[in-house]
Amino acid sequence: MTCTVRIPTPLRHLAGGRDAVEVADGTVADVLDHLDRECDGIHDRIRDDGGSVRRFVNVFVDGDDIRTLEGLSTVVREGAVVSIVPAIAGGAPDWRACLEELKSTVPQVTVAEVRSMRERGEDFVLIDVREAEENRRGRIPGGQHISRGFLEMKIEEAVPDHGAKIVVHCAGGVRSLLAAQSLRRLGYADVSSMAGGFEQWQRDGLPVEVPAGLDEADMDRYQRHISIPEVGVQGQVKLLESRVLLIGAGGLGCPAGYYLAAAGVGTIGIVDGDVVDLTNLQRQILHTADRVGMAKTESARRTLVALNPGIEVVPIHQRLTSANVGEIFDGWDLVVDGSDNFPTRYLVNDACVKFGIPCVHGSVYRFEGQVTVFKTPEGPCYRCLYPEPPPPGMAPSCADAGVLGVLPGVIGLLEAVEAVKLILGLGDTLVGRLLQYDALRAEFRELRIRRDPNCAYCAEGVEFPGFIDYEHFCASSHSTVSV
Amino acid sequence: MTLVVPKAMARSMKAHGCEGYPEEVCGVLLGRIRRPRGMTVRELVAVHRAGNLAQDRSSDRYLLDPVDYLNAEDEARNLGLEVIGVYHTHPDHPCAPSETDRQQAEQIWGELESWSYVIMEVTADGVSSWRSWVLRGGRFSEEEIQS
Repeated sequence: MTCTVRIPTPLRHLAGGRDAVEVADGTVADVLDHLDRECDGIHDRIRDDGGSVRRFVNVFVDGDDIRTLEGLSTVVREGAVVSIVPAIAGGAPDWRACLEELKSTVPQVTVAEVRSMRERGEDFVLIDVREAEENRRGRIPGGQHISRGFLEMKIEEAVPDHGAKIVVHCAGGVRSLLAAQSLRRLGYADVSSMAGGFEQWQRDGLPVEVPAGLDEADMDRYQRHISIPEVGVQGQVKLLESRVLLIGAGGLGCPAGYYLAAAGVGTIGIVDGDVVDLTNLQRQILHTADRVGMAKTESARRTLVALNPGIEVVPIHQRLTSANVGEIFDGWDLVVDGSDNFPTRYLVNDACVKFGIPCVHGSVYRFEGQVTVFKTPEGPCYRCLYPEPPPPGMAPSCADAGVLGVLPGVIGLLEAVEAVKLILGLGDTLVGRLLQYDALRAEFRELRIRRDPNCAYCAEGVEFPGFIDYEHFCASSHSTVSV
Repeated sequence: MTLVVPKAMARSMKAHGCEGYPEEVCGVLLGRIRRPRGMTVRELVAVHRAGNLAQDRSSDRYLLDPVDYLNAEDEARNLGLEVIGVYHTHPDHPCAPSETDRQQAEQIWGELESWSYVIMEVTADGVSSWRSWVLRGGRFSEEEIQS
C-alpha cells in the first residue's frame, strides 16, 4: 500500500526531476525513510542529524501541516498525499545586516588618509553630512556642510561634476556610509566615507573650527537668514557685529529699528530728544499708549529688547546738535536717518560726510515718500541734491501737513532693507538713486542723482568746512517734530 | 540568466506590491525554463499571489504561506508549467537581497542554482524599482529582466 510524496521544485533534481514519488505508507517518519531510499541525498535537505524535520521545511499530509497533527508520528493512510514544502522567507534588510553590507560595499578612508590627501594637495570635496547643529559646534576646516536630509537635493549644486572625488563624513562614520551609498546611486563615481568621522578627527588632534558669534539660540532665531546662501552664518555674524545709529525714534525710525533689531543688528543706537506723545501712536509702532510722556529712546529700547534680547540698544536721549554730533556719531557703521527737520538732516549729512559713514535717508509727506543712500565718495550727499533748505512753507513737517500713518512704515522698511544690504555688502544699494513712492498711485519711481562736483561738503579735494549753525541755516524750517 | 516578464505579469506583481504597502507581500512565479546555448531563460507565464505569514514583522519580513505554495505547485502542474521563482517586496528599502533573503534562500538551495528571486522596492508612491536575483554557491547575482 502506497502514498504519494509531492516534491517541491527546489528538490526535484534529487528525485530525478519527478514532481511526485510513490512510496510505501506508514507514519510520516516511515514515509520519509522510504523517500530517502528512493531519492539519494534528499534526507539531508528535509531532516537534521537528529532525524527531526528541518525548521525551514514544512511537511503536509493531505493539506494539513504535521506540526498541527502528530508530527513525524502522524499516520499516513493509503492513497494520502504527503507534500514537502520549503519555507520560503526573507525580508528587507535589518539595520545590523544593512550596516555590514554597507561596510562591504562603500569604500572607506581613514582620517589619516584624508589628512595626507590634503597634505598632498589632492583635489577632493569633503562633505559634512551631520545636522546643522552638530556642524555649528565644530567642523573640519575647508569642508562643505550639507545635512544628510538635504544631501540628494543639494549635491548637484555643490558638486556638479559626477566624476569628482568626494569624501563624506559624519560624527562617527555610520551616517556617512549611508550618504556615500546614496551619492553613488546618484551617479557619483568616486565617493568614500571617512571612517570614525568627526569624532576620530578630533581624537587625532586635527584642526577644528567653530563658527564664530552664533550660539545655539542664535542659530535658531536667525535660521531663515542662515538658510539664504547670500547671508549664511557669516552674514548673520556680520549683522550681529554691526552698529547702526537711528536718527529719531519716530515714524521712520520705529519700523526701521524694529526690523533691524529683528534681523539681529547687534548694536542699535537711537538719538531722539523727544518724549512719546499720543499723536505719535498713529505710526510710531515702537511706542505704546502707556508710555506717553516717556523718553522715546527708552520706549523704543524696551520694545526692541523685548523683541530681541540678544542685541544692545543704546538710547541717546538728546537732540542732535553741532556740539554733540562728533561724540554721538563716533563708532557707528551706518546711520539711518529718520528725521524730518531740515537742521537735523543737514547736520546728519555733514557729519556722515565728515566721518565717512554711509547714511540711509528717508522722508515722507502725506502720501509720498522717498528713500536713498548717501555714501560719499561713491555717490552724492544730501547737499548735492539740496545745497540749501527750501524756503518757508515749501516743506512743512508732518505736524503741519499730516502723513498717512502706514507710509513711514513703507519708507522706514525700505531704509531697513538698504541698511541690511549695506552691512552684508549685498545687491545694488540706492547709492546715486532716489526711490520715490506714491501711495495714492501705488507707484514707485526712480531718479538718478549725481554728485555735485562743486558740492561744498563732499566735492573731491574740498576741505570739510565745519559744522554750522543749522537752525539759522534752516531758519525757515524750525520744526523739531519727528516724522 | 534572464527572466522574461510579460507586461501584464509585471503590472500584476507591482499592483500586489502597492496594495500591500507598507507591509511586505510575496508570491510565486509560474512559467517555463528554456536553456538556449547554455543560458537559462525563465519565462514568466502566471503570477500566484501568496499570503505572508510573518504577521509580527510584516513590514520587513515575509514567510510565504506554504499552503499557497502548494496551491501554486498544483496550478503550475495543471497549466503544464513549473515554479520558476518567487517575488517579494522591500517596503522603503532598495531592491537588493538582504542578508535575511540570502540566508533563507541558502537553506533551500545550498550550493545549487536557485530559481528567480524578484524583489521590488515599494514606497508610498508605488514600485520605484525591481530587480531579479539568482542564488548560486550561496551568493546572489542579478539576472536580467526582459519586460
